Amino acid sequence: MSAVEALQSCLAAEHAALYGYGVVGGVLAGTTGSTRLRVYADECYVAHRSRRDTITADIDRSGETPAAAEPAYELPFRVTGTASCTALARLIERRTAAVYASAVADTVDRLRVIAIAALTDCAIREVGWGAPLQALPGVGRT
Amino acid sequence: MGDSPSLSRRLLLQGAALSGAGAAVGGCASSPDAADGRSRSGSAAAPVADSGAASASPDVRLVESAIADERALLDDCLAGAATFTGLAPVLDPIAARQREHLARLRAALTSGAPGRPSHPRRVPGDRAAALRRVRRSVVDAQRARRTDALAADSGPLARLLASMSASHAVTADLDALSP
Repeated sequence: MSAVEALQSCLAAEHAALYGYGVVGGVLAGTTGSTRLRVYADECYVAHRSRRDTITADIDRSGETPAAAEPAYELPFRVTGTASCTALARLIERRTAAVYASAVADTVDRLRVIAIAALTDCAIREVGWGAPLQALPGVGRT
Repeated sequence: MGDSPSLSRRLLLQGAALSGAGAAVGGCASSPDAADGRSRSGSAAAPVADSGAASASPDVRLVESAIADERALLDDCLAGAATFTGLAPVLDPIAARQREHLARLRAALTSGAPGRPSHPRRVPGDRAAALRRVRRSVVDAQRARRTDALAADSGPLARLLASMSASHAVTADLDALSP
């Protein structure tokens, strides 16, 4: 995979992440006693949006057209309350981490720096949502 | 000396290298890197044996150094958990992750030799100092694996090292290890 193709994959992942966090934020907004989680979801959303914007700018600079977000994304399960919001957020971070880990392999220099930082951030956020610590975030067991 | 001869070791995790030789034989069309115009051919989907590249490549030396580093962190965890019983719940999970790191790093090399033997770690005098030592080692390991990931020529190796760096970042963030 070329570096630009890797970036496009990362951008697609960020689009999906933003959609997912939009759902999480919306559900938590209507859930009593979830202020702490809602604040954390907002922080995660902002972080992903920043990554999306950075990657979009990089793809623009390459002369390629940045991948567009889908109008909607199919969620893996119904998101109706705190537990399902937390589960979705963990899944978002785990899957996005895997995309960035792959991007590390396909990039060099500045883009690899970005991919490593993004992978690290996803790993930290996944644990922030209550996931167990992994030995190899984004890569997993053999 | 316990060192395995570097001449006999090959890196299993191969991706199309940035070197001239690697780019010339890369099977995928390369595209300009968005940042600086350097290109990178597609990376291997699975580990393949090195068919005869120069021995003691930088990536091999990088893996050997990472093995020594990760082993030292494992030894710190084991020593701390053995000396201060109450630290086992904190340090044992870190040790388990370290064992997985070591297994993956060793699997990245063709030689089965374990490399340099570990040395007994001096355990700090008290529980808090032992935790501080482990945290310092974790932070150092995070930075080192990140540096290694940026330097690695092999894409799959860079990915593995970046993942290890991310794992250390999460560990360093643990409340149990915070000063």
